[in-house]
Amino acid sequence: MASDVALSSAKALEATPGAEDALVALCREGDSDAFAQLVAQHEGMVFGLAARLLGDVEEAKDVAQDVFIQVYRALGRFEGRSRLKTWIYRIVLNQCRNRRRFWSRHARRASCSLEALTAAEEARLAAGREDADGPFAGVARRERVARVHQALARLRFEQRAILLLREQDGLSCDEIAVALGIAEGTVKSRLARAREAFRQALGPNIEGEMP
Amino acid sequence: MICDSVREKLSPYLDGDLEAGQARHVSAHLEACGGCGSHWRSLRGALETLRALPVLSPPDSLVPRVMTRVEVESRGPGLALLFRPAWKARPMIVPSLVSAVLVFVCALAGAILLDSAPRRVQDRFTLDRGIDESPLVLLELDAPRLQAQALADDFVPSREDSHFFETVVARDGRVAEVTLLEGRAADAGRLMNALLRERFEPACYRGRPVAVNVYRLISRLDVHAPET
Repeated sequence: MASDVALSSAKALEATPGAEDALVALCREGDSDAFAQLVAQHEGMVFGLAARLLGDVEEAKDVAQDVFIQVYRALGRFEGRSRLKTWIYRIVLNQCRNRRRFWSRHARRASCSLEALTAAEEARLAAGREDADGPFAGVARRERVARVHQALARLRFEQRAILLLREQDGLSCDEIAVALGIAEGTVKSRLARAREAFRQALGPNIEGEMP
Repeated sequence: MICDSVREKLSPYLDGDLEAGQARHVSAHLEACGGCGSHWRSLRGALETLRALPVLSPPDSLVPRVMTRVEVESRGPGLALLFRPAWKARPMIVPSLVSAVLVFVCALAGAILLDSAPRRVQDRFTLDRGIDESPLVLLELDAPRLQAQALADDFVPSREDSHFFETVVARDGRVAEVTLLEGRAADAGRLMNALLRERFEPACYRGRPVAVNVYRLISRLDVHAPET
């Protein structure tokens, strides 16, 4: 009964202003339902970024779990100077970077791993998207997604990270600066180079067609 | 040249970070220049494609697995972890422990042997078996004290020299025997006579007077004024 009350109070926090601070406070007090709520709120974001950065669904699931365990351990040190989401992004990036270093030490090719997230897997993982336009439109969409994956795979890890944070997750440059631990000016210059590299990798024929 | 400058500004132009004047300049150039216009459309199209990628979500919710790990972590290491076979995780721990135990046992045995050796030697020379034969019992002995020294009056050595004597001090304090161990025998006669005349308060072991051997080194050193 007590846990039901705690869960309902944690869910109620979603709708109120300052909900994030209250949720963090509950988590710090050891409220497991509040922490479950925090995980549920951020699991899509964490998994999605990890999957696109690593290109491997199973690795992304492992990384996502490790990220939340690290959040659980370090939440007491979260000072609230940035948004919780930005802080979690930073942990995701560090975990993915460490995982790639582990791969490189164990001679696993990183470029292959990103391409391993195929369009079929993308379609399986895509939230709420179905091939309502018919089979041909679905095939065309999957081909386009595969091209985007291949283009992303040609970028360096840092370029891919900065591009995904900005274009996919919609973080502002100062939030990206916090997540990457670099200056905002550096973010802008790297973002410009990453955009140009992605444009060249994708080829000149795509002009805003939706996948 | 202008095209290069404009293309460098496309990213901040896209984000709306350029000042109004610069933005107007870029916009005008993109309309006028076919190459840069195409570049701009290509860039915008690529980014819109990227933004339009579907949102990914994990096949199964991560919450149950994460919460299970959190619960395990909050419990701390269980008994199974505490009592797991240590050598599985640390294969060198058993040889290390065996070596450490051997070293400890050797050190302990050595210490015990060293501690007991003097006692065994001392036990061999207990009073019951004749105190006179062992100098080691001096550890529990009151040394003889000199009562009458005859040496100062008689010892007038002729030159710088040294003599090493063994004297036997009897239970009544007399010097029973003097033996020259080292030194010139020609000069030692008067010294030996002097030593024989000396009287001691006898040595005592547990309140009883005993005879002891006393070893004496008698030296003479002449100090001369520097020659001028």
